[in-house]
Amino acid sequence: MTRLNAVILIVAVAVSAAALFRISYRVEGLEGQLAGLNREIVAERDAIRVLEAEWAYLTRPGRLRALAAATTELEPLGPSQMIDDASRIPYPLPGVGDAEDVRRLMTLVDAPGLDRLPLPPRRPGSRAETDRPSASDRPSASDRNTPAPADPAFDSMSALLATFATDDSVATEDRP
Amino acid sequence: MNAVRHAAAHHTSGSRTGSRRVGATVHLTGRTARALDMGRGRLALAGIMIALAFLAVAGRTLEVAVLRGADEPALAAAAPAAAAVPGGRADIVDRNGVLLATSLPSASLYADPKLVLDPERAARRLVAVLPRLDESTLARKLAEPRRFVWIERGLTPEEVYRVNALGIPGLAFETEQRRIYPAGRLAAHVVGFTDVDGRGLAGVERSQEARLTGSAEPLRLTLDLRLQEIVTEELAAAIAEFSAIGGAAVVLEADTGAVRAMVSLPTFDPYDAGEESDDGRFNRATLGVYEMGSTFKVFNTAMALDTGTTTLREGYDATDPIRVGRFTIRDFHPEKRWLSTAEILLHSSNIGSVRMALDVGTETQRDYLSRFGMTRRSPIELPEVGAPMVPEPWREINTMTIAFGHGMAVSPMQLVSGVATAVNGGVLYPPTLLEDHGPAAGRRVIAPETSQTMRRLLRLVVEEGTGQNADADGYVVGGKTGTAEKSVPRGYDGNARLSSFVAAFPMTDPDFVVFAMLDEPKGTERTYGYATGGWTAAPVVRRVIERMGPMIGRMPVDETAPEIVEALHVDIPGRAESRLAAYSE
Repeated sequence: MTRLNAVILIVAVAVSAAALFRISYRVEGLEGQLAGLNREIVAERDAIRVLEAEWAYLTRPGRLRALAAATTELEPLGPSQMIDDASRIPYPLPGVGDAEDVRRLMTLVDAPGLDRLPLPPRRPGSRAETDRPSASDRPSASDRNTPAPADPAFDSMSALLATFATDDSVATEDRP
Repeated sequence: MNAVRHAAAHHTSGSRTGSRRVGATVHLTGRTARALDMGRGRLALAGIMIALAFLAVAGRTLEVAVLRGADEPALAAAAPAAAAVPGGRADIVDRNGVLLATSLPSASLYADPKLVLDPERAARRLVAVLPRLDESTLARKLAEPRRFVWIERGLTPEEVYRVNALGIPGLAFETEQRRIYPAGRLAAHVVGFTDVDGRGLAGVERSQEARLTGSAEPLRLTLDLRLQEIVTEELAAAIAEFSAIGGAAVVLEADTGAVRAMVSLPTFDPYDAGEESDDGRFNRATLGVYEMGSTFKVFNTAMALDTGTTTLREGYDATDPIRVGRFTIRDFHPEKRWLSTAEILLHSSNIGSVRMALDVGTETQRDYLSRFGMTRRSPIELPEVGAPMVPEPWREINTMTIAFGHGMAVSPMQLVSGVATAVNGGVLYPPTLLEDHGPAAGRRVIAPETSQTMRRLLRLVVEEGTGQNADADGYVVGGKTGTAEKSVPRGYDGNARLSSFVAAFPMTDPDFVVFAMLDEPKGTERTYGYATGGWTAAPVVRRVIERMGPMIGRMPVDETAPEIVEALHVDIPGRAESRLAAYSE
């Protein structure tokens, strides 16, 4: 009886000692891991702060204005360009009265390269696709029948412009 | 078993565990029995102590393992948060969250001269890597009998690499937090700057020192950096065009007192503030106090209307200049006739304004101007705030000159906040730079009806008076020009002017007050030689409004719409045709 008790106790002590060692080693390992992660977090936070400062520096309004002036033909929005209601959009679109213009516009809109129009990278360093469709990407008249890009936004845009065309300009062209 | 119980009963301090080992019942007497008794007693006592100790260990184990088991996640989460604060200074952002000031870790190079073997050579090699250092000064520093000298602070990572590559003993780096201002000069007067140890020396950096060091949350300002850029650009263009020596501009939200843009030109580089000229660091918008000239007629007219001294139907004779002692008060655009209250503001008549102020009285004038905030420092959260120059004693002659904005100098910020009060319904909101300030408590200064009338009058000034150059199409601008001669030690300098324009829009219920001021502008051919507020500062205000309107998504309105014309109509007595009648035809 006492011998059995002693054996059970000794086994229990041995098992718990082994378990304790295991846990203690694991805790030690985890603590090291935690410290490493914390160091990494601090380093990442510093990196984020640096990037945020850089982002703010690169997007300061004066620089953006200079870049816009140098690379685009866009100008600051004026009061006369503010429209709060779609029904106020002048119709027909200014400068799209001519049938030739409409055809050129449609060619442009249906161009296969349109769905690849460059989007500005959201943050410096992000690798958004930045190649503009080159002139050689523009389709010839035979390319007109290529299927429209899958993007529904562009589909509806082509549809919208198509209605402009069928209204009068294309019709007048078909008459003779 | 019986024997065991007997033994237990026999020993006074015995225990069951102790008596178990006895095994058989032996009756002893005398010394042996007493010695055994004592031995058993000690054993039992020791046993109890050990048992208690084990119990304590077991209890503690239970507590650590079971009862406080939820601690580890908190521990894991808390550690990096604690590590994130060492920067010690919160960011400053604009109202849209655009970074205006932040602290970045940067390396600073120091030396322990005792460990530097050859100061001359070390200095020569260091200068090759860091050319901005001076070799002889450096060599002297490295030879000093101390254990610590700073060599250069705020090194770039590349410079750190190159210095390390030199392998000079005795040099070491310390990571310090360096203040970075991504917007640079654009918001320098508002944000301010810190010294090399990161203590605020100017601007919000100084006034909010406790907040910036007390909390890691970014400090949000009311500024809109985009608007700040627009205002800076337009003001700078006007300064260049009119060869002015400087200028200031402010955009204030009329119903909250939030400062959306505050520009003082020339500005300065916050990284190099110590090297900049005093003029560059001088904040003309808050620290400078100026005799504002005719823009003060806004307060003069509001006061006269609010006290009921005059009405829009009444007026004053402005035929002859007023002589007081050695002064003669004239009009810049003399009409030489009786002028109604509206016309006095419209033509910016000094004579009419003086008569109006005299009618109101000196005491009431002082009372109103102090309620408009003209007699005390602007409460804006900057250390650089100028105290207004208020006449003491306030005599009748002061009443007369103050009526048209002379003899009392205030900062542009005071003027803007006063004009906002005159048009926003009559409530003064202290101007603020802190977005999270909460709703400011306003103080009523004039009656809502008086404020209504002021809106119409100021609109009239832009429609057909001296402020026509400020009329941004579609934004129903109203405002007042101001042209003051700068005072020099003996009187006034006729060639050194301070030309300003203060406007609000839309006049139907103003949301913004826009102010622009040029310091010593010179007339050009395009302005027919005029350098007045209407010719120089009003166009700045117009262009700012034209650009900020679309930017903040404000739709222009049809200014000839009947409801707007009616809301802003002013009946001028003596005019042959009323404007409403003309409209309905």
